Formats: sequence, C-alpha cells, structure tokens
Amino acid sequence: MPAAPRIVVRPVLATLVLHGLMLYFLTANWAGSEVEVTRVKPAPRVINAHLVDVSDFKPKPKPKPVAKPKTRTKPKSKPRPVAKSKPKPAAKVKPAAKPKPVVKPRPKAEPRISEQELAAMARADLSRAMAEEEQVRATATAEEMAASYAALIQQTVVNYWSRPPSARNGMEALLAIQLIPTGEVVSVTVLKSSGNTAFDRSAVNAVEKAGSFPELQSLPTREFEKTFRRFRLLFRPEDLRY
Amino acid sequence: MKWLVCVVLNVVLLLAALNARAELTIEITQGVDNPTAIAVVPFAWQGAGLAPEDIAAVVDGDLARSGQFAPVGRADMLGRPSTAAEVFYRDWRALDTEYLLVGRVSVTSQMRIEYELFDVLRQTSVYSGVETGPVNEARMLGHRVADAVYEKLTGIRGAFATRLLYISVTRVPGGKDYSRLTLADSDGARPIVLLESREPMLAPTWSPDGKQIAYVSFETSRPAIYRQDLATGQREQLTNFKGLNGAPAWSPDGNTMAMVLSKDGSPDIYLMNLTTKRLTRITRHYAIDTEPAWMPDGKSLLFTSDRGGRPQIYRYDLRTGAIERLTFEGSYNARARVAQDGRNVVMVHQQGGRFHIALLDLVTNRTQVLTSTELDESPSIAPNGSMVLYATKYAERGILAAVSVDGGVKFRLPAREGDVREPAWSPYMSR
Repeated sequence: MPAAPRIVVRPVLATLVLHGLMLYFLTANWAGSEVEVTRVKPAPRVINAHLVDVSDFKPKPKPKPVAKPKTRTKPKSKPRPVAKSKPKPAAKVKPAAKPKPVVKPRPKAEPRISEQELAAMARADLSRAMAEEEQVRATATAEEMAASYAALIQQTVVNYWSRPPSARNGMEALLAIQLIPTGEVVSVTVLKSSGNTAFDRSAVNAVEKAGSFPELQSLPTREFEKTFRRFRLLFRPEDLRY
Repeated sequence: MKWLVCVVLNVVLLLAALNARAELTIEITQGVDNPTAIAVVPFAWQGAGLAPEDIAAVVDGDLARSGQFAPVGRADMLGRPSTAAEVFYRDWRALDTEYLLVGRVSVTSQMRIEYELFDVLRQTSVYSGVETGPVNEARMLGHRVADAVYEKLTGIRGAFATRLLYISVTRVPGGKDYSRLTLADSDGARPIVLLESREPMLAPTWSPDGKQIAYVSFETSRPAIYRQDLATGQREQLTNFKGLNGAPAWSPDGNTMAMVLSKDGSPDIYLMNLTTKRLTRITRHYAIDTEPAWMPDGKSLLFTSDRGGRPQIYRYDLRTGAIERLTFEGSYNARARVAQDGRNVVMVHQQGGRFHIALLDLVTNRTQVLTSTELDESPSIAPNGSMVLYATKYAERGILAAVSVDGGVKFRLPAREGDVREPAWSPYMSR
C-alpha cells in the first residue's frame, strides 16, 4: 500500500515537469518566432536606409568609421601620427605633403627612430582600431547587420534581373537560395512558380548571373549560418508598365 | 530514472525546434531589363555545295530587331557546335551568353531544320524543334525558328513569320508616278510586287486569316475598294460609289468590312456584309468620320472624327450605337490601330507641331509618345503587340520604321527605291 502513492507520484511529477517545460518552451518559442517575424519584416525598411552605405563602402555597411580601418589600415594610421606628433610623418614624405615648410627640417631629425616609432604607433593604432571595431561590432545588432547584407544581396540581384516582356506587375516567383561561406551560390530552386516559365527563368538567371556575394565573407560565421546559409528570394515586380 | 531521460530528450527536441528559425526572405521588386544575350551559332549545312540560305543569320536578325535579345557576334564565338554533344558550356559562359541556339539544315525534297536551344547558365537544353518546308521558303522557316525561340524565352508568341504590305511610289519627273503594292517578309526581305499602277493606291489591309488583302485603288480614275486573294491573285471590286471610297478594315470574324464612304454627303463609316454586299451606315455626322479600326472582340470600332473641331479618336459600340470620345490629350489624334490585347492603341499624335506615333493605353488612359522623328504616319501593330511599324521621312524620302511598344527599340527597314508608305502588318500566318 505504501508503494502505490510512490508509483503514482513519479509519473505525475514527470508529466507535470514535462508539461511545464512544454508550456514554457512553447510560449518561449512563440515569443521567439514573433521576434523572428518582425526581424524579417523591417528588413526592407532598413535596407533603404543603408543602401547607399552598402554600395559606397562595400566591406562594412553599418560601422562606417570602423569598417574602413579593417580593410585599409594604412590610411587610418597615417593621419593619426600627423595629429599626434609631427616628426613622424617625416618618414613618409607623401602623407606629409601639406606642411611643405615642415618637410625640410625633418630630414635633419633622425628618420630612423621616428620610423620605428611610427611602426609602433601604427601597430598600436591598428590594435586600437580593431578593438574599437570589435566593440562596435558587438553593439551593432545582429538584425542591422543581417539587414545590411540582405540589402546588398537585393541590390546585386536587382542589377542582374532582366524581365521578359511577358512579365507583369504582381507576378510572384519564390526561390530558395543556398550559399557557402565564400558567398558563392551553390543552389537555386524555384519554391513557388509564378506560372510563367519565362518569368521564373529570368529570376533564376538573375541569381545565377550574380553567381556569388563575396561581401558575405566578412560576415561572422554565426550570422552567416543563421541567416544566409539558406534564404529565400521573392521576385515580385512593381516597376513594370503593367 | 527513465522519466528523467524522457524529460531531457524532450528539452533537447524543443531546443532544436527553437533553433529552426523562419528563413530570411528578400524581396526583389525591380529589375534592369537588359536584352538577353544569346548566341545563334551558324547552322550546320548537311548537303553538297553551299547552303541555300543562312538560316542562323535570319534568326539572329529577327531576335536582334526585337530589342529583347543581344546576339553574340560570330567572330566572338569560340566554337561552332551543331549538336548537343558538341556544346561546351564554358566557352559560352565566358562570353556572358545566357542562351545558345544550334542547328542543322538538310535538303531532300524539302528543307529540314533541326535546332536546339540551351540555357548556358544552368547547362540544360531548354527546347528543341524541327521546321520543314520548301527550299524557296527557307527564310520563312528561319523566321519560324526565331518565333519558337522568342516564345520560349519571352513568354510571348513570336511574330517574325509574318508579312508586310506597303505602297511604294516611284516619282517620275514630269509624268505620273508609279505606285506599287508590295508584299514582303516581316524583316522587309523578299519583296514581291502585287500590283503596279500609274494611279495612286492607298490603305492596304489584311483579312484576319492573312489570306486576302484589300486596298483602295484609283485605277478607274476614282477611288474604289478592291479585295484580292493572295494565293490565286483573284481581284474583286467591292465599291464604286461617287465620292470617297476608302479605309477598308476587315472585322475580326472576316465577314464584314468597315469602310468610309461619302456617297450620302460627308464621309461616314459604313459596314459591308462581304457575302451579301449589303451596306449599313453606322455614323451620321456632318463632320468627317474616317479610318475605322476594329477592336479585337469585334464588338466596337474605333474611328477618327473631327466632330469636336479637331481630329480625335472615338469608339462606336456596335450593340448600343453609343459613340464615346477616347483621346483628350493633344489637339490631333488619328488613325488608330488596336493591338490584339484590346488594350494598346497606336495612333498618330501631334505634339509641338510634329506628328509622332503614340500609344494609348485604354485601361489607364495614358498616352505615351513612341517616336522622336517627325511626320510619322500610318502605324500598324504586330500581331503579338510587341512592335509598331510606321511610315516616316528620312533624308527627304518616305521609309518604313519600327518601334517597340515600350518605345525602347527603334529601327528602320532596309530602304528601297522610291517613297514607301502605308505599311500593314499581317496577322499570324497559318502554315
């Protein structure tokens, strides 16, 4: 008799815990998916805001000031030494072209030392820039980053999309795209046809002609896997005559 | 402790579910609409001597003139495949070619063209077909190949295997001019003179089946409407009324002809039953009503009238008899022709003292000027609605020119001797 309650208690406990967890995760899941949906939706809006940045500064869309030093560390390190100590630019006569009268006395000052110093400074600058970038990268929300790269993909595909004359506003073709981390397109499939084979083909060809989105290489692996390993492209013209 | 294992498993599964996110969807709502790059490789001739016709050149020319294709130059081609086995996609990808057309031509009793179209980007065959016909129709067979390729790649039926009618006039100084009613391929090639006269000829037009034509000739010293069978050459005079007899227009069912007669006073629109030859007058107005054109459904007619003071396009409803003015933009709109979709109307439109060809969209009521030359007249629209042929002046001579309905592509047809005017694009030709 004393064993009976134990037998009952355990399954009851188990079901309670299980259901509780189920409920918790289900609600958590709902909340999560809601975030996902809103994240996808505002993307086009963000896209428009970032479009110019993306095309102008290919390597990094959002963190403009920091994005530059990453790929071009030299231009960054050059101006800084000028601001800090004038003797340094002497080693590199080119950047110091502005203060011409200053250039003359420089050769007299020991260029060797200043060159070493310059290198050290540059190194320090570089690491600082990288740290800064790391910080900005951390603060730049994942959503913004994804949106920027989505905008980049969008703009690239738009430039390759040549619609057949039978295309009409409102036609819709949904494609599934698979990328590899180099940004190369490895698969394009039609998920939902527009019903017009010429239109579908034009959409697939736009992606095939784009071929790859190498800019995605600078995206952190996690972001790439999360958003761009596989994604969808919806081709729905709005700018045709009718 | 089995239940604990169950719990853990459940948690793992739920976490996995959480990880499966909604996939990102990027919307593409714009494009650039560049012409499609296609390589039309010279078709292999499988016979003795020289090929009777360069079929690939005919196809190439047709596709290029449509404006929707940018054919690759032969000099750039890295190979001359004629079968699927000979195609190396890499060669064509290197030329940024999207499509590749290869073919073979042979002649036994008839010419036989086998062709195959490839998608270079996806490295697959898109379409293959065969055309057969008499050797002297080789160019027409080429146009049919172009039609098939065009339809496959654009989703719109091709209109290259069609024909044109036009009037050419040779000036004779100090004497009467020569007028010739001419029939040619849609690219202007192979012109055949159907009728030659020292009296003017006007307004050639096609029956809906493309087997008969009608025109106005002054050969009896006053204008009369004739119809002529293209295969037999048999002619029939349909009208011989006092005054103006002009602007014949076949109804879409082929049973009725709309025309302009001034036998009862001012020029008005009449319908003639082609079997009984009975006439029905449909407009009565002291102003000039002229240039009737049928809507493709045959339920109404467009015509030009200056009843409002200036020439404008009106629509006459055949069931109710109601007349409605269609054009309000500009002080001169005349000679409407309706595309097969019943939506696009091409017409002569005056803007800034110059006559241009304009497109009127009957749904949006927007007018778009298509041409930039002046003195443009007599627009005629291709049966697939993609191009408009018209007459214009170039170097003091009347020539034929064509423009795409979006205004993007313009070209002149090969110039012939004399003045060329009043082109009429045929309907689709039955084989």
